Amino acid sequence: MELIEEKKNLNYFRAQIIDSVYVSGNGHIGGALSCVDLIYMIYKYCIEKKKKGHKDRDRFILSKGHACLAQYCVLAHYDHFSKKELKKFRSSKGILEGHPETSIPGIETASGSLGIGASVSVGIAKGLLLKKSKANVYCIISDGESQEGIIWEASMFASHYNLGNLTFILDYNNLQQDGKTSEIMNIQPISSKWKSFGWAVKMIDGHNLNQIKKSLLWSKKNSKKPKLIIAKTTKGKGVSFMENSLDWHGTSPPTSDQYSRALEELKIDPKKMNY
Amino acid sequence: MQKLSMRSDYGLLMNKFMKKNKNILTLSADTTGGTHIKHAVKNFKNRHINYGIAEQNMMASAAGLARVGFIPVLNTYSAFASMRALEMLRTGICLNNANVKIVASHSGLDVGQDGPTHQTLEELGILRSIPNLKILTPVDKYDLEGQMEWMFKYKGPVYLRTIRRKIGTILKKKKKFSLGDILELKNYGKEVVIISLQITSLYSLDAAAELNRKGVKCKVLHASCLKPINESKILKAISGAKSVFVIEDHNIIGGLGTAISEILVKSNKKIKFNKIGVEDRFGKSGSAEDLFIKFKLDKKSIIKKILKNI
Repeated sequence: MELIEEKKNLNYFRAQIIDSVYVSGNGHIGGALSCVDLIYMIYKYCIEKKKKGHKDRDRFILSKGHACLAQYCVLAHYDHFSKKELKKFRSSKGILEGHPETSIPGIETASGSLGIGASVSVGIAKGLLLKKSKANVYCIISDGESQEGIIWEASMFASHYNLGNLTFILDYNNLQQDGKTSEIMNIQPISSKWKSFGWAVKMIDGHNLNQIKKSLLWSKKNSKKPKLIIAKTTKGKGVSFMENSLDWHGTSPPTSDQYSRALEELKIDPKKMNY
Repeated sequence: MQKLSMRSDYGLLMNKFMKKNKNILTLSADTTGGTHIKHAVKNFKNRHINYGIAEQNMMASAAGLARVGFIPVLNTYSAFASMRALEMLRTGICLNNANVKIVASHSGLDVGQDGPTHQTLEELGILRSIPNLKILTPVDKYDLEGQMEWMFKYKGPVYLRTIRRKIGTILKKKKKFSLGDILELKNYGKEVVIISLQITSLYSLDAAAELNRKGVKCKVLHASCLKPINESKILKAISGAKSVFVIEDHNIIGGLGTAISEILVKSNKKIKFNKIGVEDRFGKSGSAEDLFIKFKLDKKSIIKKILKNI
């Protein structure tokens, strides 16, 4: 199935991510481009399915908070705030902090100090079960983040308390600030690690929209097990010279030439960035 | 009647509050017994979550529970609440301004024989610098009950520190708590003002009684609330005094003494000021009573220091 509208929107979000960093002078482009497909699909097919404030509305937490621009673009798309705010990213004049915070509409928790968002997510999931809510909780963690001890405390907790309403999505691009995750601190065998912690695990291509959509349907299946979707991704996805490059982890902005080239590759008219 | 420790009083009192407010959950990290929350858990089993020995996850996920409308009450030891899970407390709870209550037992030298690993002499210094966090330090079960009533009405993060030793009551009846409370426990006169906190208030009262017999007139204040601290009430209470002594079971850096010194410096008040606490060193194993003598926080040492520096 061709998800034409989604693909078009995602190119625009990618351009917005690059534009925000270009304007603000810093930010994390690579990790945002790596998970923006996942975030948009989660909002489109889960979170935004029910109205704000509905007790069974699904929840989303971006535990790898440095990639927040991906979430901010999606939140602006769904009118949680004006997209003009994206131009004030990381600025004292705007509302969009360098990492997510609850003062920003649509954000459930502060995150980005890695591992904390994942732990807050298990608390939300446990609380929703106690309240007999039908809502599901989605949380994106990164591969580098999986090196944090609290991830495994949260993982153990989720399976012990049968948090079947909880899905973690592992944005697995195999790059972290200092180099390849496999070389810095290998997290493999990641699938069997999570399985042995009592989670149901599914592997997908994290940029294939159909696979993402299917995996989200899978996540809603009745089960006592928490679920992990391992999404194989590419850091910097969508812009050739940013892909798989540590230079785009953060926080330097693109030059004006790089900015133009990136928008050209994404087939986005720079005029569409005038807001 | 047998004296109970404050942690027992706390555990028993929680029954009343949990009965009244269905949103209260109790959390512990294999510390249900040690913190004495067991007294409530046995009656509200379905509202208790044991995390196993994983304080970091307990702290951050409590913010998640609060996010969906619960009032999670964490029960653990001071070392883990203020240090092991500090960043989760700061970023997960306080930055989110989450409605989470942290009840910490086993603070300072009062921990006794478990030794310096568990004696958190840094606790208050660490916690005072975190925005949004209210820090409550009750002196006995009456003070505690008033504070708990306030705590469950207040929406936001609160850190409540209990006392391990069995000390009985100091106040005569339950006291309505208001934020920033400073309690006058005894007033023999205003030559010397002693400001103390929790267990050291007991020692201060004994020392003040003896000093009175020696002709030195002291007023004993207990800081029921370390943060926010009531500046004007402190300044009013010390007005006309020759000297102020702060006594605490804590490092002299960062705790109540530091908080009072900040007030005095700001006020430009010319008054003699002394901090009596642990002199920037780690504790040691021993009975709490012995340790108070060893670290010069006992009645005799307090009297000696006051007489020398009055």
